Amino acid sequence: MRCPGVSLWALLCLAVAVAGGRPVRLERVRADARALTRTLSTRLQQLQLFPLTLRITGLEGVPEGGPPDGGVPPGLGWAAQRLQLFQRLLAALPGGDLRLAQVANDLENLRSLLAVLGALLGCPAPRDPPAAPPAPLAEAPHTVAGVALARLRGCLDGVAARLEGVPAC
Amino acid sequence: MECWIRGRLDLLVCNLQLLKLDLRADLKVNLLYSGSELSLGAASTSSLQGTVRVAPCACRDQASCQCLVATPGLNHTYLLWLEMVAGGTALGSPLMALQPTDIVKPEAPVKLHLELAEKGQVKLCWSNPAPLPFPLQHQVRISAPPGHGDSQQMLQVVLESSMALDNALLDSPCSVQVRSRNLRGPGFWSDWSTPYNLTLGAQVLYFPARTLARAGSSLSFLCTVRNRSQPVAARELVWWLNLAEPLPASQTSVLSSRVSRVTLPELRASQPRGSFLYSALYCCHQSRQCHHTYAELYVVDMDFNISCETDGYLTKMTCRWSANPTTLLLGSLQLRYHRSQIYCSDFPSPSPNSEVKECLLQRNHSYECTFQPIFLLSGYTLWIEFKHSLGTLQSSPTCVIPADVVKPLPPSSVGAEVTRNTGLLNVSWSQPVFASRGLTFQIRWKAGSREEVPWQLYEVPNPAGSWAGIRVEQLCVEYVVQVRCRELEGSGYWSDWSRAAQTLVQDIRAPVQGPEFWRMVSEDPAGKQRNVTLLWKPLMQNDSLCSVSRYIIKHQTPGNPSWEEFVDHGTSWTFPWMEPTHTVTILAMNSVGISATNSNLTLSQQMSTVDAVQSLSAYLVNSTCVVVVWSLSPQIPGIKSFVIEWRNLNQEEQMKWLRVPPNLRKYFIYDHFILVEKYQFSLYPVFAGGVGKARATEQFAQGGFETGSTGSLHVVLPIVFSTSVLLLGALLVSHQRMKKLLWEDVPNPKNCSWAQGVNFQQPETLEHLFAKHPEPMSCEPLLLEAEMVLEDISITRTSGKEEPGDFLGTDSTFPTPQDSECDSACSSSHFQSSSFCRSCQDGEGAAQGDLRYATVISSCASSGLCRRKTGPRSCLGSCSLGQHPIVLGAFCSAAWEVGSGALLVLPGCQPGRALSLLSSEGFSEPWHERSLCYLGVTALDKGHRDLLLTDSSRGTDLLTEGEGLQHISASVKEFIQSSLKPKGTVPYVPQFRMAAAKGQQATEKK
Repeated sequence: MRCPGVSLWALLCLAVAVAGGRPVRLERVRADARALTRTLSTRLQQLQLFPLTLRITGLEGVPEGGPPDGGVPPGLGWAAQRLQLFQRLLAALPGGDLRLAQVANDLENLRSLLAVLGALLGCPAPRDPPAAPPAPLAEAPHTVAGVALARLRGCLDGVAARLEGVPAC
Repeated sequence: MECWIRGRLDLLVCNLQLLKLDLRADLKVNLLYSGSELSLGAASTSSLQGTVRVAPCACRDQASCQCLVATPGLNHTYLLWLEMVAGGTALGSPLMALQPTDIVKPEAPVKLHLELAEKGQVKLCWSNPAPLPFPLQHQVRISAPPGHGDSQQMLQVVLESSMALDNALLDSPCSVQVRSRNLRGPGFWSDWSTPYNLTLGAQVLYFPARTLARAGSSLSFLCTVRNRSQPVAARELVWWLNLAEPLPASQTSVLSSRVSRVTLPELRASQPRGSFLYSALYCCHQSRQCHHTYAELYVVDMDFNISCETDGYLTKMTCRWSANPTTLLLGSLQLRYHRSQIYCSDFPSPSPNSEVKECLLQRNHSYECTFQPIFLLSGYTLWIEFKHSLGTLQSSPTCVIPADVVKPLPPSSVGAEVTRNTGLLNVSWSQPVFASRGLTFQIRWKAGSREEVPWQLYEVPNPAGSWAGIRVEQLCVEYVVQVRCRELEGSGYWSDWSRAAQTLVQDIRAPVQGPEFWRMVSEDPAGKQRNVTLLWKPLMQNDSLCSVSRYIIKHQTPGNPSWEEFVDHGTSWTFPWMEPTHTVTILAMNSVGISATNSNLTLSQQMSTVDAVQSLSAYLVNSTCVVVVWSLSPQIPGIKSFVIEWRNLNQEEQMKWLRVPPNLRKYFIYDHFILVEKYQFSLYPVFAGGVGKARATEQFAQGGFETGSTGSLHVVLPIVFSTSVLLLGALLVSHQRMKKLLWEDVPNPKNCSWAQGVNFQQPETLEHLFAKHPEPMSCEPLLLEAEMVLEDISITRTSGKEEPGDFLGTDSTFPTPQDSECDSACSSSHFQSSSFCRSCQDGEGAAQGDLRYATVISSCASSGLCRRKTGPRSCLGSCSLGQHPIVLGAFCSAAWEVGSGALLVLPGCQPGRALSLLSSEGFSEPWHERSLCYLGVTALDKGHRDLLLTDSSRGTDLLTEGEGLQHISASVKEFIQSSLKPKGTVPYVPQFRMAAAKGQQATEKK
């Protein structure tokens, strides 16, 4: 998370190496990913700064949480890219809130899990996401944080749904 | 002029050597200098534009001066010149440029010493007193002492501050010096170190001299020993640990001719011994001679158990570990960790990219380290690092994934209730937040909230939902319930117990049946009104799960609609009885419903005259049980049940009742019955149409009753009765036999003068005979009771048979029947002593003192006792009578006064032997005429039960003879005469006394 530019697949290789060559079971990784997704979702629920009943404009820099309209149902690659965007955004949020730091750590773990899962499924290495438009972090950190957390939760719901079955690449 | 930088790099020293010595005395020399950061080649006079400083030079004499410049910068370039002032004229020298790093003169090496190296070679080691920014080279000068030649050997040593020495050099009396200079650049050699004499070096060298090791590892030590410059062969060396524990030879080996090696396997952690935190290893000569130097071994227990726990919010992981206090004394500990991206490797190992985690010291030398925030699925490889001046040790690393060591939050919203109908303790809960993985649950529950009641544990079967039903025995009590959970997978922890939930006692089901009840009818003579009071017993808990809120009394009379009355409290109800027939039913009710099975009772005036009970008897078994037996009149069918009433007539006690099935004819009533009180028992036959006429009894019947198959009275009572009869019979028989035996052997009063006038037919006389001696005995314990005498005495005719061994009171020849003519007492009462003595010998009653008896033996010639009457130490000589101890002493050296009328005689004057009791009390005839002796025998105690009275083999006779008395003085005779006078009507009888203790005391007095 601190170096989001580092390739996720490099981390994957590191993870596999760290695992000492031990075969990591797909089911375990998937179960851990599911559990971590639920944990993250619960955290975000508790962190929710405000209810998103209003449509807020001017936040194009905050990635959308749901799948693209009319697009292909998101797979692991899409989820990894989207999570990385959120990770960057959360890292840029001001303050030293432990809860946000925990969310960031969880996001990093989840990305690693999805990467291992993709590797186990034979998926191609995900590309780094394109840089998102800058979010008005300096002028409206509260709004950015609230919207980002809400959208991240939506993103996690999609990831959780994808993890219930055999995840697609 | 010569300049150099002192070894501590703090001073530039320039020495001037003046060539002309005739300079003026007022000559002053100054060193002017200026430093710049330019290199030596780039420095020029232009750099003099800066500050120029002056350092005065001290000239000790006209020939030399010394100039000092403090704290020169090593990386600077100095331009300096000399200025000399003499007589107001200043002279300047040409400029000089120098770089301090090029002119460093190190300090002379110090601390030259010998060390033993890893492979057993000896090295000369030294150190430099001040650190320098560049490596040094060293020169070693080995000098032979005077008289051994002037040869010097120069050895170049690079970088190393040590040099290996061969054995020949070590054995030589050479001395060694070392000097140093810059290895990589120009500079000066240092001065030579002070000489080090190799022969005076360390006598014992160890490798390693000090070392640090972890517990459980193995370590080898080397040593070489010189004894006054002479090397000691390695095979002669032995190793000792702490000067107390010799190391076995199996651990010792010879590395070379001079080097011994010992290997310490499975090192144990060093235990502090006083202020010494290490183990001292000594290399000694096999003659048990040790040099005082030793090797220090620090063994640290690096077995740390690091346990981690992630909190229920999954944001914090706390790791705990404990340190051995000794380890903390030896050095410092810190937790290091390395986090992998995800999961743990199979073989975690310390990583160079580790970080130190700050830990807080808790109680008992335990540490707590907290990671927050955490990476839930990353592998944290943790280990403890121990830092010591001798090195660093690391514990075995352990890898923890925070998600695997979660201690979840306890379940919330815990509820508990006992379900209706099924009677299960139903527990429900909500899963804790952040419970993303599967959980297993435990329930603990107990009846009531008292702390002393133990909890019972219930494992909720997996897969667990959010509720569980527990079958409990008691349905009508409050239960306290708590739930906890743990993750199914991983090595997580149980959560804390949840908040306690408590069940409410509520009705499980309607009462099973209504209560049993009975009635009391009371009549008001004035108003001619009869009131009926219904009495019922509270329902048992099993019949009313869990409560009875009210009782419903249902009345029914012929021709009228039924009606109900409700009783919320109490177990009785009174109502007027108006109709001839009145049927009552009592129902029990709770929140669930009304009892389905109920008993009713019909009150009928007509039926109350039916006399169905023919007889009724009550038998008192004991204070808690009475048997009621009854019989019925024939040909009266239709009895539904019986009701037995009973009450204490002497107390204002409420009537008690119980219902009995109709097929019984007797019934055991268990209650508290006072035997002296009077009770009334009534039996009512209950018909479907009403209650019949009662039969009552107010007293307990005597005699037996048929108890049928129940109870044990029919077994116990006959046994008690028959036993009593047998006992009584036995007593009667024994009494008759005793009487017969006794009277057969009791002296015939016609023949015994002392027994004249005594009526032996009277029982009191017999009692008197065997009563305690009226006079106090001087021995303890005192007399046996008469009945004891009766019990122990076997009165038989004298058999004349010699009793064996140390028999009490035995003369080898007791009077024969024909001898009995000599004296009435003797002739008719041969109290053989054997039985008495046997009892003594058997030890029975020996501890209580012993039976003492008396017998009278005739003096006829046939008596063995009498046959020895003329012996020089005969009975006459050895017997005397009481109350005259002086006289006694004159005649017998072994006789003591015991009491009035009795003497203790020690036959043969042998201490510790038998004591004799002589008495003539009760004799009416002069004893010297009738030759009667009164003989008593006793034993002392168990240890002295070989008491003797008269032992013919020892020639000591107790029995006196008239002839013997001739040796008695007149005063003694007078005393004897007076003593032999009958005293009142007390006849002579065998005297049973106990004088064991006193007898021994008397013996001791002697």
